[in-house]
Amino acid sequence: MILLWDGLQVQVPHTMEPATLDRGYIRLFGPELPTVDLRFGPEKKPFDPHRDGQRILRAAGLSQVALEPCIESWSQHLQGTLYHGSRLYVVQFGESRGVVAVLFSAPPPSAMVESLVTSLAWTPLDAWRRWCCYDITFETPAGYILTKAVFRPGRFRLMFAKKYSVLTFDRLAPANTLLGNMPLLTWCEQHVWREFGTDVKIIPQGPSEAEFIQKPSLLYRALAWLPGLYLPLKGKIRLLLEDNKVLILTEQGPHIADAISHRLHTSYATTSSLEK
Amino acid sequence: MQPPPLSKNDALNATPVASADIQIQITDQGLVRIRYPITIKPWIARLLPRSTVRPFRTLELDSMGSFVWNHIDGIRSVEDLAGIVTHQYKCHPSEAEHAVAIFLRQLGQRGIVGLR
Repeated sequence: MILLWDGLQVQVPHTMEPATLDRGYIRLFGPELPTVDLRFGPEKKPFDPHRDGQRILRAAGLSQVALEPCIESWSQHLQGTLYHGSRLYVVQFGESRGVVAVLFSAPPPSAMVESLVTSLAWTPLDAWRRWCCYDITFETPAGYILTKAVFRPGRFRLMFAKKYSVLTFDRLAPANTLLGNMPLLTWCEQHVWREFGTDVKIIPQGPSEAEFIQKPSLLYRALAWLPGLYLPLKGKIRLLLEDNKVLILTEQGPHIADAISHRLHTSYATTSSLEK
Repeated sequence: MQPPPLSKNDALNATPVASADIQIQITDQGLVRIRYPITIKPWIARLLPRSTVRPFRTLELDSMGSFVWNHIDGIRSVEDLAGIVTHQYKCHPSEAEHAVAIFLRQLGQRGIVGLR
């Protein structure tokens, strides 16, 4: 399984799964394998293995070892430079200017290190980023920062913000239990009105899709720069019958260009629907 | 002293068993309604006269809860139940494990099921 999270791409080993997903942080956990902690982010200034490496090693509880360039043959094909010290591996991506520190909780099997480290790739924040976690995949435009990630059984919610613009990706499941015998439109009315109020207009787009839109208030149009004002919103609800899921993408704040909005909506899908 | 918490593997391999003190009803909609005696702290129970009948409460499960309940047979493990939920509701496996674990924990806190 390929995990794409906050700009980082990583191949999750077969028996492992993401246990924690946060901003710039992934923890992979699996039975009989060492836990893997990945910390990553943009490079603020060129990575120095002596200066920054010591700091990372100290934080990892490995202050007695040094970070050295890795001489394994497979590391020559990486997109960046690989440094190694005990259970810690650091990849410095040259072109995209990102740094990833991979810490194993115990000495890992060499095949695991190779497959995991060679799968790493970095997309900076100033480009479109693809996300793929659990069973959903989507893209976010340049500059949008993850502000909230909630993974509850039946409800995933990921929120992104860029100045006054907020994008929310919701994935609800199982759809057949949520909807019961209700048609999608009736459920949308109940759900959207409960979440955002009854002044949101719902526009059906067929039996499995609906759009919702709320016009900006006079106050917002006059004083859009004021913090705390209720942002106008629009979005789309899609019922994926085959996957038994409901996907909701909500755009809040200033109007997003139609081309960007279209790409956002078309890229939001479940991983199983893409496999078909 | 409290027993140590179960590891994830042990918890998934445990078998949920329904309590003998509960009464089950099926509603017209096919949902499961469980009538269970409320659990009383041991020190309160000691103060009550022996003839006191423990009060009952009723819990009605939703369609997903009823589905899981109908598959608790004293043989299937938590992992088996999660697998059935994954297949039936097309959930992500870890999401189904989490959902079944929360459901069983809530029933366990009410004394409706125990783990064997």
